[in-house]
Amino acid sequence: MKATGQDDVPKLWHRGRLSKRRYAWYAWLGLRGVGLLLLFFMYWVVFKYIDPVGLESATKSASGLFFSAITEPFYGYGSSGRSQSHVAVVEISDDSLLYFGETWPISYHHHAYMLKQILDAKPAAILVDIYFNGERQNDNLHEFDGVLAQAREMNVPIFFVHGIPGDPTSMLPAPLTPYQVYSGWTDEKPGMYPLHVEVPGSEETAPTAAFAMYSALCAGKWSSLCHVNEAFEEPAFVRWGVYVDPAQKQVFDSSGGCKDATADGGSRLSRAAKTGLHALRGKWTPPRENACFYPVTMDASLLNRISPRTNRAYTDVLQGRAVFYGGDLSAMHDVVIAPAIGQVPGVQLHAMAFDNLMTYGEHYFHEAPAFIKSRYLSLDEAEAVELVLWMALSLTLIIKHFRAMGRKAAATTAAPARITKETEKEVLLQEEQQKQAMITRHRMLRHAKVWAGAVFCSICCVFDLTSRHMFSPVLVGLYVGVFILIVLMPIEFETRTYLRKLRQVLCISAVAFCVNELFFHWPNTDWIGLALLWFTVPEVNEDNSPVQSISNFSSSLWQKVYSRYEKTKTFMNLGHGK
Amino acid sequence: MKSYFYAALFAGIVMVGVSGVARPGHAATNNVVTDVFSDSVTVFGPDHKPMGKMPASALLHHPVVGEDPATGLLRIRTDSGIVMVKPGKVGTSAKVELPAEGDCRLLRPASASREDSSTSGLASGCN
Repeated sequence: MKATGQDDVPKLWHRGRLSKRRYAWYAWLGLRGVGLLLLFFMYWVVFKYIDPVGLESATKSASGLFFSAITEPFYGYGSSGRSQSHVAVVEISDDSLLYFGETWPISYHHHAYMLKQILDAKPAAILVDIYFNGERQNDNLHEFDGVLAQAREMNVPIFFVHGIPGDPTSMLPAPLTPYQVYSGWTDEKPGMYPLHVEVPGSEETAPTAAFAMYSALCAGKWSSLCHVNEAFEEPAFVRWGVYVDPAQKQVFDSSGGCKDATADGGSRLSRAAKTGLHALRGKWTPPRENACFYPVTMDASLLNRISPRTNRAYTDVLQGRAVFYGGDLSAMHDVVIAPAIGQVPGVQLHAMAFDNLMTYGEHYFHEAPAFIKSRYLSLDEAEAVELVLWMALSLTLIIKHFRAMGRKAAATTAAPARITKETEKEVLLQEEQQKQAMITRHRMLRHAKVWAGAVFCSICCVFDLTSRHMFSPVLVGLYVGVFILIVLMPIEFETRTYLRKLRQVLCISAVAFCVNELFFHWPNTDWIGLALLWFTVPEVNEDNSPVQSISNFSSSLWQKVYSRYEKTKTFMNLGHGK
Repeated sequence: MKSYFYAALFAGIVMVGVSGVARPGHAATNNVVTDVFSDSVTVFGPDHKPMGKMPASALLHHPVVGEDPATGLLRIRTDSGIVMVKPGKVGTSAKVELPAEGDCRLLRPASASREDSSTSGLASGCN
C-alpha cells in the first residue's frame, strides 16, 4: 500500500503539472483567440472607415454599376399601372433655344407662357426645376401670377425648386415663396435622393422636390393610387429604367434607337445579360441603347405644336401626369450620373425619384436605417448586419484554425505506437466509421440544402410575381436558375478549387441579390461589401496572410516565453535543492 | 340634279365645320398672337429670306392666317400686311402644326461629350 502510495505521489504531481500547463495553454489560446478576433475587427474597421486608397468605395461603386446594369432592364417590368405612366418631363434644350431664337436665360414671361401650355394640357402636378431666384431687368416674377392663379383654379399642385438648405440666398422671392421646395442637399451618399431635408434654425424638416410632388398628389387626386406615411423617411436609392414610355411615340416619329417598355421578359433578360457581362469590365462605358429617358420626355419647343403625324397636340401626352419642367442645356450644367446610363439632365433625377415612389410605394429602395448615429460614430443597419456576420465568420475561422493546430500538436507529440495487425485493423475500422459518419452528415446537409433552396426560390418567385401582378416565364426561369446555383453550391466553408469557389460566389451573390431585391430594398452596394468580405475570409488561413503570420508570431512568442519560464523554474528548483 | 348638288354642298360644309370644331387647337381656327418674347422680331419674305426686323408688339393680338408648309414660318396678318415670322418667336392662342418630323435621339445630355454628338439632341431633332 505504501509502495503504491509512494508511486502515486509523483504521478499526481505530474498530473497536476500537466493540468497547470494545459490550463496555461488554454488561457494563452483564449488570449490569442481574442487577439485574433480583435485583429479581424480592426480589419473590418480599416476596410470600412479608413477605406485605404478607396478600396472599399471603389469596389462598391464598380459592383453597384454592375448591379445597375442588370437590374435596369427590369425596372417597372409588370408594373405598368404604377410605373412610368404617371410621369412626364418637359425639357428646354439648346435646340429649343435655337427654335425660340433666344439665349439662356430666357425671360420669365416665356417660361410663364410654356407653363401655361403645360397647364392647358391638364397635368396632375407640375414641378419647375429651374431656379428663379430674383428679378431681372425688364422682367419680373409676377409674370407667373397668371400661371399660379390658373394652377390654383385647376387644383394642380405646382412647385418651384430652390437651392440647398441653409443658403439664405436660395429663398425664392414673392410670388413664388409659398411654392418653393428644396432640390439640393449635402452630406448624402452618391445615388441617394433624400425625401426630407433639415431646415437650419428649425426643428422641422422640409420635403424635397419629388417627395413634395408625391405627397401633394397622394393627399389629393391620387389618394386611391398611393399614400404617404412614416415609412417614407430614409433617403431613396433611385433606380433607373432604360425602356422608354410607349407614349413617347406620340412625341417622336422615331425612338432614336430606344426600345419601349412593351419589351417582353426575354428581351429584357438578354439585355440585362449583355450589359451585365460588359459591366464586369473595369473600363466600361454604358451602351448607346441605354441612353434613353424612362419617363416620357418632350422638348419645350413642341409645347404649342400639333404633330402632323398624329394630328394631335404634343402636349396631349402630359394629361394626367406629374410634369417635371427643367433644362437640358450646356449653359446650365445641371446633370447627374445615372449608373449604367451616363449623364442625364438633373430634372430626370427628380422625375425618376418620383417614379420610384410611384412604382414601389413605401417599399422604395432606400438607404439602410441608422443603427448608431452619434457625433463620432455612425453605423447603419446594413453595416451592423455586416459587422455581426463578419465577426461570426471570423470566430468560426478562428475555432477551425485552433482545432487544426490542436490536431497538428497531437500528431507531433503523440508517442509512436507499435503497429500490430490488431491495432491496424482497429484504426482502419475507426477511419471507416468516421468516413461513414461524414458521408451521412454530408448527405443530410445536401438534402437540407436542396430543400432550403426549393423553399427559398418558391417564396421569392411567388412574392416577386405577386408584387408585379403578372406571370412571367422568364422570371420563373430566373428563380429556377438560382435554385440550380444553390444545388451546385459546395457545402464546405472553405473550398479548395477555383471552380468550387466560383460556384460558391455565384450562389451566395444570387441569394443575397434576391433577398435584397425582394425584401430589404437596400442599395446593392451595401450587401456586396459583405459578400466581398466573405470571400476574403478564407484567405486568412493561407500561410502568407496577415492573420496567419500574426498567429505564427504569437505562437513562437508563446514558445519562447514558456521555455524561459520552464528554465527559470528548473533553475529555482535546483536552487531550492541546494 | 340641283338638289343633289345642294345636298352635297351642305354635307361638305357640315363636314368641314365639324372637323374644325373637333380640332379646336388647329392653327386655322381663330388663332391669334398672344405673347411675344422679345422687343423685335425678324420677318421673312415669300422667298423665306429675312426682310428685316419689326417691333414684336406690332404682332400682338393679330391673327395667324396660316403657316408655310415648307419652313413652318407663321403667316400673321398685321396692319401693314401679311408677314412671316419664326414660330418660336411668338406665343399663339392655338397650337400650330409642325411641318415635318425627323428622326431624333432621345438623350443627349447637355454637357456630355459623346463621340456621336453630331446627332441631333433631345426632341428638337424632330424640328
